[in-house]
Amino acid sequence: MSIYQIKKPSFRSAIVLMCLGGFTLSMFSSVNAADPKNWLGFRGDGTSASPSAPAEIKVGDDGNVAWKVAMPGKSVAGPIVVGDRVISTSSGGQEGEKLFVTAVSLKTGEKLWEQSFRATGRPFCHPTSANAAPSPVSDGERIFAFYSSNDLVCLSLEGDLLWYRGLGFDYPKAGNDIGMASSPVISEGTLIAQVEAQGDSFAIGIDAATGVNLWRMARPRQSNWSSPVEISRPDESTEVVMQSGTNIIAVDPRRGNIKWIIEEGADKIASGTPAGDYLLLPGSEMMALNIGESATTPEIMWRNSRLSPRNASAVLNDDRFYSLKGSVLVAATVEEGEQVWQKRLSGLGGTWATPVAAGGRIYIFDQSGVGLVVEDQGDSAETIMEVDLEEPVLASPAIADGKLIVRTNQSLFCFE
Amino acid sequence: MERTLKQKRCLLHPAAAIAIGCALGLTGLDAAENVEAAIESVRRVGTDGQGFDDALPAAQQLQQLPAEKITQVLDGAKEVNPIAENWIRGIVFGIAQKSGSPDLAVLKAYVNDQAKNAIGRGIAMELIQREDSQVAQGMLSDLLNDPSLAIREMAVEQAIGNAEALAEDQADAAIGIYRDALTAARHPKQLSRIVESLGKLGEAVTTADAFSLILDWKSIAPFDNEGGVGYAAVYAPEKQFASAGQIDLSQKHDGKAGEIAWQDVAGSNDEGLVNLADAYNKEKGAVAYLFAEFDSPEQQDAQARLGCINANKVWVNGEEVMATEVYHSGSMLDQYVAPFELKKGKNTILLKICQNEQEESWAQRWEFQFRITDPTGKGLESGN
Repeated sequence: MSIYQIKKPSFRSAIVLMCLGGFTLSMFSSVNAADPKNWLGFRGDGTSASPSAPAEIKVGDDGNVAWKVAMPGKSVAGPIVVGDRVISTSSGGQEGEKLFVTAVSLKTGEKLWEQSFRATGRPFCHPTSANAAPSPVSDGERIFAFYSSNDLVCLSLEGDLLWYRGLGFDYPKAGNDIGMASSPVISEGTLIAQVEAQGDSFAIGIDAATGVNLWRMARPRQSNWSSPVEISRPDESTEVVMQSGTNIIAVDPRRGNIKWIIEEGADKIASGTPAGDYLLLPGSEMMALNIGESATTPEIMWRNSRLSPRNASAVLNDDRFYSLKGSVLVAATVEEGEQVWQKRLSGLGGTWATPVAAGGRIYIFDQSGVGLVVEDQGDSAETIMEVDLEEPVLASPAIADGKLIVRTNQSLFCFE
Repeated sequence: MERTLKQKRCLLHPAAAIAIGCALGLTGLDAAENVEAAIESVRRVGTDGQGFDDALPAAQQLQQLPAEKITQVLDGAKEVNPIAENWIRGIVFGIAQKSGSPDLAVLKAYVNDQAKNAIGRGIAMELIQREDSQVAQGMLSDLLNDPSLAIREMAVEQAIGNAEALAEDQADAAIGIYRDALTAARHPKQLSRIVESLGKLGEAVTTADAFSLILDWKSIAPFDNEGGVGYAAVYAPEKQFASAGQIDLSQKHDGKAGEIAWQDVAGSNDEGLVNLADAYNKEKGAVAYLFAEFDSPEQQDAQARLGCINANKVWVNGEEVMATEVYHSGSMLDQYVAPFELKKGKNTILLKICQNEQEESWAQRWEFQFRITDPTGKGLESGN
């Protein structure tokens, strides 16, 4: 691995940062990703868990759909919630080259604003996917929308353009034509994205306030759809963990230097899940790393091949996690990696969307739009509700303020 | 005080003036020259965050402008790169969100003025569509051959919709609309949809014809690509073409398993797909070279457009114009596009199509579709 570029912000950048009032916001803001009123990125704070969500999901006259809104295009990207705004990305046009970012009111579903752009990179993808595949992310002050074409938009919460990058334009051999899907994370004022494919394959750290590269590093030249994950050490320092089919590395978010590396391939679709002192990493085996003290390589605590998910990432619920293996849901303990129960989910088809969990319930959607609510009853599980949204769901839902927001192919649903 | 500040700002770089003004809390762009300076800062953004220092405050300031200034911002889209185009789009829609769109009559006049830049006109047309889709529909019916590709695409889309509505009860009228749209369309997806629809109405139009795909090739294979060595290897045809811009088709070469010679291969009549797996007995770990000539009546700007699921390289007149080392990761018409210049008279084309050794059922394709177009995507035919 080599760092291509480490760029210190210039004096001019500093003026711009101060001018925009973004410096203090990005570096020192205390936006709490775990605040149940927010869901700031793919899988919320990375765990896919929230304290509460509707006990049921029903459509129709006696249902609990608070609102349903048509979106301007297709999406397999999860929605996010920043305060009272739900943000969802879409792509449309002949090849998904039209990019949209839409904000709607969490309370009413009213469209607040919509921005549209044109892909500068390759928009092509498999028919079941969309250019709007990576989930957007927010630092609580800005919205960052990323697309399969490697276009990256930064907007204010009011929908004003702050900056625009075309990583597919900057690095034309990046990407693949089945579609990219890795969702970026924000850590220490840095947007970190994995752009990994057979062509130009790299990870990049971009200053959230100014949009310029802080660092860029070469990555294995192989397709990878997994997303980076932020972990915190006991001394409150942070690292961003990136997995690939070749290895697992952690980097300093601002500088991009490698803090540790495990020379072992991990899953190229399902992503890691932070779980308190542990990080769960899917692969041919599910692996639990004990994060431990700073400046140490996390210790591998256990491995279990029966606990690795197929496509969706693992979902945390206190001291246990759930792993979706096609239409089979498995619960296991975080500390020991021991299976607690296994449930075959009747009626569930192919799944891509990572489920979400709240209040001992797991919300699972398949790619035809069938959704199940599974209740964890301790030693076993029960399906307590089934719904059919009649539109494909490949995006991981969001939970905020006790509401469940589901992005289907063309619509946004809010259950309350 | 205001005058003093303005004088000071005039001595500074325009973007610095905007930044200082912003830092001092002056959110409005109160002079026309400041608006122009801010637009110029945005126009200068490039790759890798180039020009962002100046463009960030400029974009913030521009989004505070009133709606009637939108056309001035649209003028700034003239000949910008795709990154700057998106900055201008975001700014225009940012203004429209806060201040509303300009008067429809103003936007209509902007779209109808073909002297305005194509990108700006396209964005103006989108604003009209958002504001009043009926007005947009009325305008688009006359814009099927508009020089702005964005507007043309909207007009073709509307024509396709009109034809679809007539197809069942008024087939002849539908065919007429589809035929006009076929001539106007530049986007490969739209062309494919029109070809398919005409086929359903009994009209004999093939993808190969509609796209002007090159069907007749000379081919030589297999050269070695086991372990992926062939992509970078410079085999004899490639060496010959790079040095002379020409191929001696009578020469035989050492291939992967003995002497090999040039032979004819042809694309399918319907899709124009050249199937190398069929031509070379599903060989794996192999490189094929394809050669064709193309006569151009004049020197002109052109594009090479390749659809290929295998690693590939393309040369024209001895010069490499594209190279992609990606295997089995999606394929479609016009997947890879590269500009080049056709010279008057005979031009020569060499393709290198590499198959790897993946064993999965979905990794057995070794094929391509290739065409030459003008810069708008209109297919060109040799000799015409």
